[in-house]
Amino acid sequence: MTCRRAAALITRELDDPLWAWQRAGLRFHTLVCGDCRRFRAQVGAVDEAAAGLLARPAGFGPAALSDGTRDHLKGIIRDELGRGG
Amino acid sequence: MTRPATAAALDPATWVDAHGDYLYRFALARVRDPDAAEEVVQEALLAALAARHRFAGRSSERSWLTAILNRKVADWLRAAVRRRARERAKSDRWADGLFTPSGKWKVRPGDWSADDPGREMTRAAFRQTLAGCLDKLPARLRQAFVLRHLDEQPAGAVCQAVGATPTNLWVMLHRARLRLWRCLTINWFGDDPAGRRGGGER
Repeated sequence: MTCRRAAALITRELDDPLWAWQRAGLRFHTLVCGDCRRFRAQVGAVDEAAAGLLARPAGFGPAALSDGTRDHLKGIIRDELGRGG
Repeated sequence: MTRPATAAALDPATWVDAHGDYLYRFALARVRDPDAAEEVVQEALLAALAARHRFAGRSSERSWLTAILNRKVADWLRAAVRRRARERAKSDRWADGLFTPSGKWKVRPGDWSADDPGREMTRAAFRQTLAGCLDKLPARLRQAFVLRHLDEQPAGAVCQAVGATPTNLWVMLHRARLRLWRCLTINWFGDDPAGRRGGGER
């Protein structure tokens, strides 16, 4: 198994269980390949951190509705409430 | 002022002021496109208005609105990914460049941290770098990656939802993760390939 192939299985494993033969192949490869062992730990940590970041919007810095949009949205809500919902 | 008892905890007239920016940030972090973010916030508010009589008061107003927005964001991402996922995955010169022709790492994964990398991940500065790396992903890869984590479903279910073959989605997610990993390697951990470290430390 090449490192390129191992890397593909390592990221796929984050989404779906591998087939038994893929798991066995990957286990053997990472046993003998320190680079891919390291990649596996790192990319897993990155994935987890990114998932955590996406679960909380604050991580992406400040952003606010423009005044125009704010007024527009308020108008929509006012109209909708005025119609009695 | 009288309101139906079921809607006692909701006050739509204050939604924009009380939650508008929060909802917008929530949407923007996921769809990344300011116009699309405003659009999904508007859709979510309209859907919330239409459903307000069913609000049971089991959650706060904000988390109720956020849950509705989350569904609208997922719809938007699914539509965006659906448009791209049917195309046959093209070769990706960037990802190919990480490996030698014989399939070995061209730049070997370096040592990120002597201690548990998980601890590193809690720092605010790290999160900022990570957000920057997410934003550097090509749009289609970012959308696939965000959808994958937003739905919290196995990739197989995401495939079905976007009409992609599993292979296509895996390829997109794989490329997204390779890029995120490489971006953090360079911008946070410092590009310190294992192969170079053997020569001695300083």
